[in-house]
Amino acid sequence: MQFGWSGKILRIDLTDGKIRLDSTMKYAREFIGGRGIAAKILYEECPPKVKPLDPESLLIFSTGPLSGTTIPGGGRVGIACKSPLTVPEGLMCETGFGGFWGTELKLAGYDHLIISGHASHPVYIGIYNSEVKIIDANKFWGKDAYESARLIKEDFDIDSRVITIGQAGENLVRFASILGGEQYSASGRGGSGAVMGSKNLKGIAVRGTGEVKIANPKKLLEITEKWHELIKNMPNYAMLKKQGEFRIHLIDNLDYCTVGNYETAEYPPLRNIKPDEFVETYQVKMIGCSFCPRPCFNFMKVKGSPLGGLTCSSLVAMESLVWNDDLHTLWEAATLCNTYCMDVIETAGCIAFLMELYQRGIIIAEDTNHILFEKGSKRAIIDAVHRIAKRESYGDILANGIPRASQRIGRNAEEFAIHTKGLFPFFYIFQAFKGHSLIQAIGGRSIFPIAPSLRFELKYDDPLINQIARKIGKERYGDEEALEPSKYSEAKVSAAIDSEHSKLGPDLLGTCTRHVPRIIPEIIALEAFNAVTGVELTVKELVRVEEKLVHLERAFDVREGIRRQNDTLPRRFFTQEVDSGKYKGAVIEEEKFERMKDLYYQKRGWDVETGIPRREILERVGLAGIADDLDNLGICKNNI
Amino acid sequence: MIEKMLVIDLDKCIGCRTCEMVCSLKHTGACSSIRSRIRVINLNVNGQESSIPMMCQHCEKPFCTEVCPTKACHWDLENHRVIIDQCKCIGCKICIMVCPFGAPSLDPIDRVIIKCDLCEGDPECVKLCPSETLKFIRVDKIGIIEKRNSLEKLFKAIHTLFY
Repeated sequence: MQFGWSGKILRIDLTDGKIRLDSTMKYAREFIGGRGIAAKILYEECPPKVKPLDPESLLIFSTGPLSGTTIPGGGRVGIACKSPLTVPEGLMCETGFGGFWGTELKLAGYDHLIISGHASHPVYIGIYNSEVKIIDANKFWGKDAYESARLIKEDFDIDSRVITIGQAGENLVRFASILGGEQYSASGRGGSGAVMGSKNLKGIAVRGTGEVKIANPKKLLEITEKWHELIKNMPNYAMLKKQGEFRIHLIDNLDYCTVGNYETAEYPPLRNIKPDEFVETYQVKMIGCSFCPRPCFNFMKVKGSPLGGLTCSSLVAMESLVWNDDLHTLWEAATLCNTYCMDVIETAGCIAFLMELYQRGIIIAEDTNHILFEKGSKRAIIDAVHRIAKRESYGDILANGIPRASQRIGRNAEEFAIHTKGLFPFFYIFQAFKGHSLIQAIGGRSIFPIAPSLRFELKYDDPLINQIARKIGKERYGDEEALEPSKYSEAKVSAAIDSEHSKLGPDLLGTCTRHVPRIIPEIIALEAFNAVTGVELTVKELVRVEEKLVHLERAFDVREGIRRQNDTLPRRFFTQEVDSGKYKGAVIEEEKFERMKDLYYQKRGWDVETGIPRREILERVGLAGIADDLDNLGICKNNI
Repeated sequence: MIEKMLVIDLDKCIGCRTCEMVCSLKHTGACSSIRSRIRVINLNVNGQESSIPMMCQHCEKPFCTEVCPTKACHWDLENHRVIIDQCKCIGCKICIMVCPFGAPSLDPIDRVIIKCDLCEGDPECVKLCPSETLKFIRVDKIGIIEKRNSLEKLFKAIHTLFY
């Protein structure tokens, strides 16, 4: 009897229609679940010769052992695949979505779903417990992600949950996403939608009527109550319940978000935005994921857009990155990105890029269909979203991502292409936060640097946060100033490393990073894990698996060509001081940054010159096989 | 036992389905929507999506108790609820057919009819509902709360209009 995990991985090949089952438990001992298992499988089966949009390229959907139980956050699904957006192409794309589909997959009896191959014509997959069908989807092709979710649901089973791609995925826009919640929650970064589109796969519908077996039901009920209690006692709970983080993202966090193409830190019109009124006028409700007591998507019906939900970064991206202070434009643009289904941040980054190029006279109106890309122009913003999603005219160039587009444009546009490993950086003013800048440079495309504890860099001047940050600094790193944003210290590097680990916990266990570890301590999550699975796992053991996963994902990227010189930041972060606002004057000092990288590689056990994991650390964390693999490819750095 | 009623605040449900999972967890030890005695139904009316939890209404004149051939389904006067004695239930499913609310269902593992039993007077779903949709309220308070709320709104509106 299997508690927690269902024990089954469903594998579907769209080329030959073959369906087979694999065992989760053969990986679970080593990697627990979720992202860990997905990374292992992707490493084993997608070497460099497999390109992201090839038939052999895998698209892996993952739930965790806590998914489908009363534990909040279990609705989260992780996606692992090769990214068509990264530079170099094919780095590990790790993203995810929420909603209810993940729970349905687990109740259907599967921990993971792996899609391979290419269908010869548009199809969707319909799963009803053990019955798996590949169904013609020609009539849905060309429709947006919201509408096709509704239609596929009606076609297959009204009680099923459906994930879909929009036209962006069909058109292989390199940053296309997958819509997880039918009207909200898309898998933001990295282009998983293009991978799905390349397989001619329009959607996946799941109806699951099974159960998740629980080792200790009474204990699980108690922990669930405790979990809910902790959420209810969150400082902003009343506001979060009513309007989520709408105001927090659009106004409160402006201090540390950049404006435009990383051009300035302050744009006064943004401060006049009235988010509370917008919520009051248009919000239908807050909507979220399975069993979560704090839904975080603002579900609104705004005139001109379909009913849908948006949250956090999708909001900020279409505000500060594109110089836009009009909430209607913001909602329309971000919702359009969702319906076409492509990364809102990347799209906004492309628009910001065009706006800067236009300002500098590198592009002219003729280049963009006679639409003037003036800062904040509603016309430009909306037109760009349409063109990119449909790969029409100038949109076709941008649909390949900012660095590739800049090469195509020429005329010195490359100088203004802001990206880390091919992705527009998350919009934090990285120059001011040295710890964040380090993990952004090394990681490059995590959804965003959630970095618990390192996250305190962002609000370090808030008295309460400052107190906690100093305490953590002193107790954990022997340096009270460890988390002070402007420091490049060794303590900062240690904090960055810890943050990279703790961020992975929820992805392994099957819960949400909004809960763990920010509100729910890891120890409670592990109590839940024990109640569900019967398996004892200490925080230390969890961190060991998290650390192992970091090395595994690094080895994957190294195999694709990543070296120390790729672990860097846009030139601008080194040459341009922040011009205004709270962090005026901040800049990344190259020498200190490179020394921070030295420290990071040393602590990680990677070769300092190349950034390649050394054999010693790979063996120590139980990845000797990977060390051998890198050896055979002439990459591994052996200790002499 | 003090008589209470399970009431639903129709506007508040966020569709999270916590009620389904804690119900099945409490009654069966497993997490399963199908084995839950309360189910959240998503309804799309005029483009508006609503979620509403539905369970046994513990009718005063139930159809289910009338048709049960073994009287497994009966009124429990002491606890103010309609319950099904699992030992007597033969799983004939007639109660499912006659219930106007679709409250009973067949448990796929235990092969008997399951239905909300108000959890011995301390409903689990109410305890864990995060949006205050589900409430277990004293019967003498039913309607009084809603009347009071509506009067408050009325007076606020009058005050705004005239003062």
